[in-house]
Amino acid sequence: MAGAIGLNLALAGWASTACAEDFAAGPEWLRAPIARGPVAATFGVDERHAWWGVDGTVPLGLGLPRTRANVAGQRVLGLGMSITGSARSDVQDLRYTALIDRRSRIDGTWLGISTGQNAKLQLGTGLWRAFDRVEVEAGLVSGLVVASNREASQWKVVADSLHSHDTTTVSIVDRSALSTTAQSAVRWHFGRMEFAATGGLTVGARTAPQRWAQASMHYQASRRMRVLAAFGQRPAASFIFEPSARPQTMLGIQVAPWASHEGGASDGIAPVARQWRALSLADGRTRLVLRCRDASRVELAADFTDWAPIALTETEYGWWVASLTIAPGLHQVQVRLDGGAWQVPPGLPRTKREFAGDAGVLVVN
Amino acid sequence: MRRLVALALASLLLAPGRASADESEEARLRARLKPELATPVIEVVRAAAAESLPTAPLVARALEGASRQAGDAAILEAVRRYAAGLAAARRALGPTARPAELDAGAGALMAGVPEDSLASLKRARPAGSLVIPLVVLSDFVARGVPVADASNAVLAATRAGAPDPALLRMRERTHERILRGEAPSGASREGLRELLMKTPGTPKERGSREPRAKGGP
Repeated sequence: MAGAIGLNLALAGWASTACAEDFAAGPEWLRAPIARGPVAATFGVDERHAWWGVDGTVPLGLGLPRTRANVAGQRVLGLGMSITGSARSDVQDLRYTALIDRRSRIDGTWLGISTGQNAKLQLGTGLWRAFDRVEVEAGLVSGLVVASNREASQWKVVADSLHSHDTTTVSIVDRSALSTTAQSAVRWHFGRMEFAATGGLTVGARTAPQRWAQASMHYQASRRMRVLAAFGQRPAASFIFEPSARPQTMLGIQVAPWASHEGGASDGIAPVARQWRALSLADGRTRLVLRCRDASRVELAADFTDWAPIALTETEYGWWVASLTIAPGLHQVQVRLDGGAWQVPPGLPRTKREFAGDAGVLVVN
Repeated sequence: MRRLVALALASLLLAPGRASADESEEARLRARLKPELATPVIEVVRAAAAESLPTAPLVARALEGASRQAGDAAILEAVRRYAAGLAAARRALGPTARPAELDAGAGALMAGVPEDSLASLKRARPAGSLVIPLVVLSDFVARGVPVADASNAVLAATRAGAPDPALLRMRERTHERILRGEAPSGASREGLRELLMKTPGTPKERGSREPRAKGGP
């Protein structure tokens, strides 16, 4: 197994006014500093070898807190910037990338600069636009690609049958050349799945024009894990700003333990309340516990809160808790996930209500 | 004499508590409702208190309506209807019914269960609490079980002496069957059949037929 270690250290400062839905639009690699969280590990196999990598992100507010405008349909603009350093064992080098991204709810543009690995300096720019679940993206990446040849030369030949002198010298000749890649992509989001077709043309000063195409698929198995697959080839210069892409056919799994709730397929992962418990505490309060993965906000409204929503606290992944003083008797409870519809906590008996659907019946002794 | 003193002491101790509870409820209503709505709602609450009906469910109804931004007329109507439901529940369950039973009974009546069914339940379990049977009954109706089938199932189970945990298990089994695609009516009958099979001293095949034969709800 040829280990390929990818380490991306990203310092990201976001001053985005985009709402949660905005994060789900646009190329995933532009959203990665927010969506993927501080660490992501990737394991996979491609045509040549098995590989694994770790991506790290350190989000920095830089005094510019992220704000959200949760007004549906409103056109909001945001500005994002990331500085990325990466090292991969298959290229044994570091790469530094800076990206500036200006986006709205349905479209955006980006400008990036990268250096390291096999490119002295790469400049990239692109734009994207979302049409419902289909996104179209176009970009241009141009830079000086490092290439060197070992060239041999003989400065003198001694024609002597008894003595042979090798006067061959080998020198490394810099063949760096300007390379430009024009590319476009079409992405289709369907629930947790994202399909993409990417193609382009790479033109170099010392190489023949190369057309290439790659199809890829991402499946968001959970908020923290997704399956990556790609079929086809693409030159390294084409994904200089897209760390999770690979130059050849591959299959991999990416695990992001601290992925944010606004992650890549947030619209595909509808949070589901799975388990409800009510436990009596020694201090007389009742501890209400709801198990719900993939939710960023869980609220409870009940007669014992005067039907005012209160937020539950996530004590560990997927477990939301509130400890309240509840008088003995019959109570009605509803929960709401990520601001969705009010619903009956799982497992509780149901009763009809006048104002907001059914409620769960909680009997406190 | 000693009993009279005890009663006097109890009334002295309890009266301020009751008053403060009423004041607290009225204060909560005034804080959340518009004055023109708070006044008639408080009148309904006071009338219920005068009849010794539980007032907390009425206050909760009003506050729920305010929370969900329902119209004033709808809130007042809901509170009045629930107060009538509590009174009807007490008629059916008797004057000794506890507040939680009245609340559960009113909920069942609001769901469309007839008063007769509540009275039959009371006869089937004259001493024990009817909170869980009534909660299960309301749950069945809320999940689409026809009222007659839901009443039959809960009444038969209660007559068979099924304890509360068994009733709750029957509710869970019925819910699971409905989720699997079974018709709610058949699911409740199967839930009852399973319960009766596991309840000692019950004729195994009698369950689903007995309530109708005995002139149940």
